Amino acid sequence: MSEYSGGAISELSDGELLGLAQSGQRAAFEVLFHRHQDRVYSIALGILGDANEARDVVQETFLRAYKRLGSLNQDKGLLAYICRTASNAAIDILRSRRPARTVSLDARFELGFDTADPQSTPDIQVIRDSQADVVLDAVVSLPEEQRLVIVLHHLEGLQLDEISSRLKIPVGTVKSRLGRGREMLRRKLVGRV
Amino acid sequence: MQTLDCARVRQMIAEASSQQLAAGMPGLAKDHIADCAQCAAYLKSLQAISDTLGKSIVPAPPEVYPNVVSALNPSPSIFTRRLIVLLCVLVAIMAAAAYVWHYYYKINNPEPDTMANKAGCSLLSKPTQTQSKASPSNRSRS
Ligand SMILES: [Zn+2]
Repeated sequence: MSEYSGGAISELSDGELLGLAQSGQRAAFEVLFHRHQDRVYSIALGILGDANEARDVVQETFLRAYKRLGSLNQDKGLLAYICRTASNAAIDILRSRRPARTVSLDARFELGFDTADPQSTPDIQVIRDSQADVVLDAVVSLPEEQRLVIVLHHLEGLQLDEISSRLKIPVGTVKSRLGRGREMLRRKLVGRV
Repeated sequence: MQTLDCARVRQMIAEASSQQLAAGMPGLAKDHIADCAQCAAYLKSLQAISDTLGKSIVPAPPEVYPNVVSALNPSPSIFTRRLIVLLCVLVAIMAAAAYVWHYYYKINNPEPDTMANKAGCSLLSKPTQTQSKASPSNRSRS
């Protein structure tokens, strides 16, 4: 096994780095790790709301990816695989820690969409200027059902139908959770709740 | 022509995918937004939410990678470590037993003190016949 010597390894694509990692170059795996660890951590934190659990999920995710390096496909998105592994692990933790619930939050949570309040330009600027940690804190404070959909759509980048099959809920439910979650977030970020 | 009221349009905006929000909403909702300043402002605020969420990436704790590396290069397991300690203890016991055996063997089988004689340490050894003959009193008489 010869070390990579073709220029800055950090400039290689995920697929190229994966190929090097598969040939046994730990440095390539390290670059992949540092490239994606923050997104993976943010997804786990957004779902779990607990920094220690989120850290464990990141570690487990990359360890699992390393152990399965040989079976990973260089052409398919590595980031998508890593994010899916992390969000599935986080959802499993979330489900294991809560008691079974029979009443859906969708049924209990009534929040109208803002028809009376014209959106002011300063409010929009407040939202755009929000720091990542403040936004993530606001996401974590959402009810679990809204939070999951928000994280899977906006941080993991899943389409609404993909969220539907991942969470085994109808697309209409995904949309209503997304809508309520965004409306709650908007109010939190502009300081109206 | 079918029209939408503001409440319905805002619900559609809130429930749209991030791609639809970025594209300014599809179909009838887009027509309504073009004529309604309030719904247009609502769309802008939800576009801001969507953009901000997409960038909400916080740094992972610094200890994560070292933890992954140490998991990839595992230190000896508890079993291995206990085995090493046990071996060390056994070696120590055997060394102590050998020392004790050697000590009692020497007591029970005293060696002739040839070594002391060779080194000329007559003070440490019992006086022999030759030495008594060469004692100072004998020498002074001669
Ligand atoms: Zn309107």
